[in-house]
This record gives sequence, C-alpha cells and structure tokens, in this order.
Amino acid sequence: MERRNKERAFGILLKLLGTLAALPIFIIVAFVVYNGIRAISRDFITKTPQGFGENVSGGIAHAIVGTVFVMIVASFIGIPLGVLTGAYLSERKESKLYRFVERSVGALMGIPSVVVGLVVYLLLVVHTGPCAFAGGVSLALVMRPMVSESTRVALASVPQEIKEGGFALGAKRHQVLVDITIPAARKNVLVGIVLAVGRAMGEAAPILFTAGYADAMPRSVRDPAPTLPYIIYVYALYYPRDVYRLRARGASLILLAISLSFVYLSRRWRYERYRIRKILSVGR
Amino acid sequence: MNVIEFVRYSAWVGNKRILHEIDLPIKKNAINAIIGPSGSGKTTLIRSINRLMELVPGYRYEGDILLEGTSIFELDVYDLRRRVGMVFQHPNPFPHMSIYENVAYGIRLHRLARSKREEFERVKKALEMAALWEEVKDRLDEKPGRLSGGQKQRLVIARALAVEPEVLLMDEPTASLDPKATTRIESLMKELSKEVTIVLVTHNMAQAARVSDYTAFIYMGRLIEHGPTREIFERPKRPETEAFLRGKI
Repeated sequence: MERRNKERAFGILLKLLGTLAALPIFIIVAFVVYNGIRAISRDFITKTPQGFGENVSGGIAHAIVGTVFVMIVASFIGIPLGVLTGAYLSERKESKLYRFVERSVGALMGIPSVVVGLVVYLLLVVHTGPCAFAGGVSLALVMRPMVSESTRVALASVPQEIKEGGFALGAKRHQVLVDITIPAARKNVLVGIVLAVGRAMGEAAPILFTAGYADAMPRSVRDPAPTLPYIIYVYALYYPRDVYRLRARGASLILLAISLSFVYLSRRWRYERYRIRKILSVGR
Repeated sequence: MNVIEFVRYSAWVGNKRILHEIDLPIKKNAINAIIGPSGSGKTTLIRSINRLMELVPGYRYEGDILLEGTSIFELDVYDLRRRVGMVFQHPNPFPHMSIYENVAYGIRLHRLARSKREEFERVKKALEMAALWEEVKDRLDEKPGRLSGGQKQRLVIARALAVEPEVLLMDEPTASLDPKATTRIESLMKELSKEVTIVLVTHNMAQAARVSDYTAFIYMGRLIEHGPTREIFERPKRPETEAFLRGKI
C-alpha cells in the first residue's frame, strides 16, 4: 500500500515538473500578446513610420522588410556553408582535417553573438557602412554552426545499412551523399535550417553594429536595414514615450509570431525521422 | 568452375587479425554457403569480395581474391560492384525513393539503359526474377515503407539483380524475416542460382544444409573445411566441423 502511494506521489511530482517546464512559454506568449495586440493594425504592418515624437503614426513595415533583407543575405551565405560543413563532418570522420573542423565549428557556436557582430563591424562595416549585407554576414556566422551541427546529426542518423546499399551498387562517395544520404535525411536537414533561421532572426546583438538603422524602407542590401529586434530595443529604451513603447510591444508580437511559426513548421516535419527508422525495423 | 578464388587471403582491422590465409574457391552458378559461429570472420570474408571492407577504417589485407582470374584489387571498384551485387541482413531499400526508383537506381548509376522504355523493361525483369513483380506492379510509385519485411528483402534483391551481376553476396539475408518469408527467399535463391553465383553467409546450419550446394566452415578466422554441402554435413573430416554441427562450438 505504501509503495503504491509513493509511486502515485512520484507521478504527481513528475507531472508538476513537466507543467512547470511548459509554463514559461505560455507566460511569455500571453504577456506579449496581451501587451502587443493593441498596437497591431493594418497600417502597423504595411506602412513606414510617419512624423516624430508624440505625433508618430504609420507602422514598422521598414523593419519587417529590413529583417527579410538581412535574413535573405544570411540564408544565402549561412545555409550552403552550414550544410556543406555538416555533410563533411558526417562523412569524413577518418581525416585529420575532421577534428580541426569539428572543433572550430564547436568553438564558433560558443562565441557570443555580440563578438561576432563586433568582428564583422571591424572587418566589413568600416568599409561598407552599416547595411543589410553586413547584417546578413554577421547572422550567417551565427547560423552556420547551428545549421552544420543539425545537418551533421541528421545525416549521421541515416542508418549505415542504407548508405552501404548505395556503396554495394557501385555508387561513389559523393553519389551516396547526394543520391541517398541527403535525400533520406532531407526533412531533418530542413528542420535544422528552419530552426536556425528562426533563431538568427531574433538575434539582436550582431545586428546592432552591422545592419544599421533608418526610419525609411531599405531599397537594397546596401542600404541600412532596420530590423525587428533592433527597433524593439530602440523603441523600448531610447524613445521614452508611451506611443513608442506600444510600438515596441507590437513589434515584439510580430517577431514572436514569425519565430513561433518557424518552430511550428519544423515540428510538423519532425515525424520523418520515425519513417526512416521504421523502414529498417523488421524483426528488431 | 570457380568464379571467385581466395588465394592466401588474410584481413586485419587495426591490429586485429580477422582472417588467416584463406584459400577458398567459389563455384559458378551454385549456392556457396559460408557457415561458422558469430565472430568467426564470415561477414569480413563476404564483404571482402565486393571490397565493402574498404569502408572500414583500419582495414588492410594480404593475399588476393580473383574474380574470373583477375585480382579484384586491380579492378575499378565501381565495375567490381556492378559485377558483384550484395543483399544485407536487414532489408535496406532507399526510404526516399519509390519502389521503381529503388530498382532503377543501379541501372541509372551504371547507365545500362539507353531509353526510359529499356529502363522499365530492366526494372520489370529484375522484379520478376525476385518474384516481386506481381505484388508491386500496381504500386511502383509508392515508397517501400509499407512493404512487408520479406517484400523489402525481395525488393533489394531485385535492386541488386537489376545491374545483372555475375555474383550475388547474401549476408544473413533471412535473419530478420519470419519463417514464411524465409522459405520464399530460400526458394528464390535456388531459382536464382541457375543464373547467378550466390555466396550465402549464414549462422543457420539448417539453412545451409537446405539450400546450398557447397559449404565452407570458418572458425576463428580460419577456413577449417569446405566441399559439397552433403559431404560436409554427413561426413565432416575435421573434428571442429563435427563439433560445430553438433552445436558444441
């Protein structure tokens, strides 16, 4: 009898801890939605800011577009580099270069993103001025280790037997990688990319020095690009007026909505892993 | 006639010696079984024939393996693996390709078909040889995920046959299958051995006795005895073979 009570108590404790772990996301979402929803309107999403001070109107379309510009640049640089590095790390375990690359990727992941921003500032921004391109480069450096690590794990999770099936037919190393390993792990690679893009989008630190700020719509990647994390920061701290605070909250809600939709997207794809496993599951 | 001949072949992985100076002929258009307890080197032996061992870090060898009189180590590995197909212990169809594409993959890899029509004919022929055509002809575009274990194994047999190999290596091909599927694969092997030389690794002695024409017994990396299956099972010459057949090793 006593043992049963203990077991029940332990079960309740586990449930409690589980709920506790899920709690922050609900608090954050509820808080951001509650505070930000009043700021959202059609103009807020589609127009650039008009007027100054108390009389400001219009929206944050410039920051949404700026974020898109920066992320396009970051994706074009960060995703191919990350996927290639991840493919290398999953395939070439025996080479001497392997440990060097593995460690440097690990180290890159450990570098605080504000330092990444500073380095890009010193090497690039002093020549180009703050612009969407420089912001994209800094976010690409933040994304790359995330993408390469998730790619490595995704490719390594393709069972060796499936790759051997390709080798046994006479496929060469790159053919097995391109025809079999990457397609078989395709969805998991994509999940990692989507999560990395979502994470990078919310990064404020590397953007501070590199992407710049303007109240106007960026026209090309060489223009300064206001981004959502940046205007949240600026509006909330440097414009001490309620009208700007409200804009910061609205921008937070939009950024959160975009980020969470990326997470949602990646979750929907995650089931694929089980299908690959299932195919080999006979008699195990 | 011997399709394959091991000549004083030894293999190491790192410092560990797996095989000791194996001299073994593999007979043409027959089922050549390799039996022995776990860890005796059967898998290393069979994976040496298509040089799949070269994927294992630290592998090295001495001696030679001849395919139709030519050293396999002098052949282009890509051609070698077209001539020597392989079926694995667990059915391993490519999960992202359709049933058709699985079989067509080797044909495309080796550019064996000049037209879509010819490719289809080859795929069909391979599936027929593997006794799978009737079951999958209406679902060639489906992924192999929903096939049964036995069907998946026949699919990868078809995939291997599609490039018209001279030799088919089978590494415990029924180890993960139920008895009914096992019986099907065994009768398929018998059928196939009329056209293709089969090297069958198995730890199931009853299977070796049922299907094979020749049997080689490997123990602790050494070839103990080989010959026609009936002789090995009925009149083993070496005490180790007899001990193994009686379940004492």
